Amino acid sequence: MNTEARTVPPVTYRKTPSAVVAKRIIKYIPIFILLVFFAFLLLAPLLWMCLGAFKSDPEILTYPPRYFPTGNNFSKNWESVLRQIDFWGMTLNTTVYAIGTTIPAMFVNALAGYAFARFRFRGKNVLFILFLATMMIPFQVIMVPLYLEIYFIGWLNSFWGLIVPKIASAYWIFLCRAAFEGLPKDLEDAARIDGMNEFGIFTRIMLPLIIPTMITVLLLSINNCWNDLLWPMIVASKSNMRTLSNGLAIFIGNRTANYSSAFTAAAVSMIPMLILYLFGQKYFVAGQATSGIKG
Amino acid sequence: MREGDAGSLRCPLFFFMKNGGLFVTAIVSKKKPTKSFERKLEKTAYLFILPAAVLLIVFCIVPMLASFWVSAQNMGVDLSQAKYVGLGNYAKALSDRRFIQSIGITLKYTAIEVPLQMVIGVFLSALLAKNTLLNKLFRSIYFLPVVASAVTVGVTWQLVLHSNIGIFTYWLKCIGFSDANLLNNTTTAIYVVVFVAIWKTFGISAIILVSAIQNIPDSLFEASAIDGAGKVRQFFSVTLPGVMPSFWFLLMTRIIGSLQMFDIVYTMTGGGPSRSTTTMVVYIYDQAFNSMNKTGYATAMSEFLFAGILLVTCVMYYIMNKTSD
Repeated sequence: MNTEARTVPPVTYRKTPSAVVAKRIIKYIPIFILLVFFAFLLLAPLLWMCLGAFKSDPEILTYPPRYFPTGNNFSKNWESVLRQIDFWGMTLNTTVYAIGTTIPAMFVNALAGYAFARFRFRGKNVLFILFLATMMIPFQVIMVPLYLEIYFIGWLNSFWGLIVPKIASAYWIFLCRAAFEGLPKDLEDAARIDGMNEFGIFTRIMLPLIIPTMITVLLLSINNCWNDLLWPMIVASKSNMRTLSNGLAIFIGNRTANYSSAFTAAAVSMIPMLILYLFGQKYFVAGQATSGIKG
Repeated sequence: MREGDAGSLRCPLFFFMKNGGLFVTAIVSKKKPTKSFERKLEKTAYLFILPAAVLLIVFCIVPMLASFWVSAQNMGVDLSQAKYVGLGNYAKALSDRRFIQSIGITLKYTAIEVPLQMVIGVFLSALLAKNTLLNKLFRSIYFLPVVASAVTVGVTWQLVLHSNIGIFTYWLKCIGFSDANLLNNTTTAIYVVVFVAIWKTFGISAIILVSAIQNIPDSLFEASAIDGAGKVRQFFSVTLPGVMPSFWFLLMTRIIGSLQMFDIVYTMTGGGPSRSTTTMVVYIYDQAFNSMNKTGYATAMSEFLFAGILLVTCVMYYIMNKTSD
């Protein structure tokens, strides 16, 4: 008995000798410097832009460049931006585009994903392959016929034309399908026995269970629309329909010598996405990590 | 997400080839569900799929099919003025010096951007794979430009590299580059675009590869450590083979993305100076919507792009299939 006890020594956690720790830290320093260098390279231009929003034009033009603004010139720059472009109108258009696309997209795509994940029906595989095939069609290839189609329907320079073609996405459908497939099989049977209708089962039982996936769809879709440049440029070229991406590209593309306004407009237009990223970083990363088709 | 799913999600073609038999049986088998309950469920399923199916067919499949018709027409936006020219637009594209030039620029861009992006992605993801607080902070910083819009990025870099007021231009001058007018120089502009594109998107590559590394079982690292492998050896013998499936997938999406390059070029250089950064999509866009609405011609050119993307998909599928055995 005694011998047996001795063969199993009491578990003690040895402290790592400080020399080893020091060695590890020293080894980490070059890696750390490299990572900091990359982080600096990423942040410097964005910080420079934000600082530029607070500078006056002569201040921006001084040589050698001054890093920090001497006074707060932001409100003046902001006024000059508002004088030159309809910033709030563009923001409104972008918001309508982003929300108007995302909310139906969440619903429509989750519905289809749910059907693929939980139902057996004839032609399922054919439909599935058809949906998959749409993922292989690059938007850049169909943009011209799609533009003609929208022109033909009469949706040019309207929110319909901007939003409706962007709602359905095989990418979201497969994301939702994968989420629904992970749920236990008995769930909807129990609800069915209780006499719930199929739509109720979907909205009241299944959908709440994949909320993380839905948040991913929500954030990524809003982000995609907010940053989308090509499609708004094609269908919403009239000045009162321009979105932020599209409008700012034109505003700054004119090569204005009005740098402070350019800095200010670009910096302010980024704020909503920064907030979204700050709160939903986890979901952004999850969406990219499961499949980086976008981008 | 389940592994099998990821495969088909990553590469539709993968799914086609793996499940070709499934496709055939789906058409041949006409077994009707017998129970009325099952039939009711089937109806519900069709109803649930209907909205997405209609939208995808109308706004994705129809334009794709229509593109072949449009590419054979000489037309603007007015359908009634369309004139059938057969393969004329394709022949015209092949003899269009500017189109050939844009293909060359796109290929050059892809050839520089993709390998650099992949090397940086693999390298940084290996350094950032452990879930320490510091690494998480770095990862979120690296991912930041991904959520910024191309316009913001384009404007920012345009101003940072501005010949007079740019801070980077100033720094370059400080370390000895006297004439650092990078964006207005026909030879350097394309490299600047490559740099900015990598700057904006390498966060995605790093994140995807980090999650791939984290999926490698720890036991492999432990075993190699017991066998006396150092960190560098571990990287080449354990990490690199472990992330290969993700690596090939990422490589494919990066190549396809590069071939479609548009927004950063458009917002930063507008295709210039003197067309040195006009990629295929920029040229197609320009022909279709800017200069004279040559939609038929533009569509014919986009079919070349489609063929290129299809080719890349097939080749990458072939490689993925071979290496996964």
